[in-house]
Amino acid sequence: MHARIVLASGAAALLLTGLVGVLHMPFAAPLLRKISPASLCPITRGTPAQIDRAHAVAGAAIRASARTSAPARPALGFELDKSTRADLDAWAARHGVSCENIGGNANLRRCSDVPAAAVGEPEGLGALEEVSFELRSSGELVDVETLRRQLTPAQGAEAAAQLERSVASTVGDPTHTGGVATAPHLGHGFLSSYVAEHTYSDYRATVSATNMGKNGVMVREQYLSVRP
Amino acid sequence: MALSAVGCSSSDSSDGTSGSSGTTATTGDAGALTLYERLGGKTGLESFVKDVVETKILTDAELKTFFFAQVATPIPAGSPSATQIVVCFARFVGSALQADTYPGAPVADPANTNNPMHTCRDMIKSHRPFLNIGSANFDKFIGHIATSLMPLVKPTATKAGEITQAEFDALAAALTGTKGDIVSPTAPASGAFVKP
Repeated sequence: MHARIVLASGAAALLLTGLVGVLHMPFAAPLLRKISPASLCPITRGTPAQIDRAHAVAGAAIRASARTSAPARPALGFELDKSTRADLDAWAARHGVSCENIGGNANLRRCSDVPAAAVGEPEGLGALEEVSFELRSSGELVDVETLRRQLTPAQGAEAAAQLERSVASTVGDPTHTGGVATAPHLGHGFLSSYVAEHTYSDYRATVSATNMGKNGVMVREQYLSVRP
Repeated sequence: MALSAVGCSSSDSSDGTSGSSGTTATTGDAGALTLYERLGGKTGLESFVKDVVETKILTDAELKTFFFAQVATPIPAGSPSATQIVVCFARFVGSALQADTYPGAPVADPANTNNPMHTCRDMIKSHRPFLNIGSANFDKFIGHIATSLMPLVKPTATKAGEITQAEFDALAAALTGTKGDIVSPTAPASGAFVKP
């Protein structure tokens, strides 16, 4: 009896695997779309090589506008070009943070509802809706991004100003700015923005705040390695 | 998608033509140079779009997944190259400012072996059937455009590379007007590119 159950389970698993494979062939795509919400499909949407290539194109373009290397390369407690997936997993476990691959790509990770303290930021700035990471296919971290949304103009201005002061304290003045981090400016209207970029030949840090209308003010940080 | 902001894509016809009903001021209160000229004309617009795509979108962990076709070798059949997208965007904006023609002639890129001559498409056709863009990703995208345009805003914009706050506001309004054409109602709000 036990052997029959095992055999039947094995056959069913094999059949299911085959069916899933067939459904992902081009001719079956219309059927797959009908029976499975696309967001649930775990099939990878890019390759590690494509992720690396996109990063390389971006890095080259950013380096072209830079003059010197960064005096420091802060990244919310992570080490660009050194931290690994194991480090990210350990960090997530330490802070009880839930993370997942982006689009099935193991080199793109997104963690949700991250306490500010987990990335060394003041609790008063509020939790982060997302913290995202990118790793090279060789395993090293190259990008850390954060996202806060649904902020009032005053909250967005305060958060952006504080975050920018923190970056400037280790990296120096921004190389490029737009708008101002004040409540009247961010509250002016849809897409009113503040941005401060610190662009170097091996690193870029960006702090921005943008009025997204009914979705409130969106505040983002990015800490990016642009080493070749 | 990027510089559709400068135009008025909600007025595009579904056959991919556009441009005669652009509402963005061409001169506004900025003196003798038109907005198109202050945005750098064809070359300047192409440069702006290229910069946004390369230095902002391709560094965004989620948005970059929508451009994997452009970094594949070869680029999949039917997909435009980054070069062709940039030219189409710039042409679309120029058309909305009544300074260029859209879709215009097919855009050549011999490096795109599967699609060396790409005909520019309207906002719906170039996004909805292929990209399955969600609302939150659209917001992130236009956020990148806004933070790229914001440094150009000056109290009085008279030179190349300068726009007025009123022009920025008009672009912002036009940008949000494209949302209905670009966002797929059934797409997940955020996350990576998922084939529709």
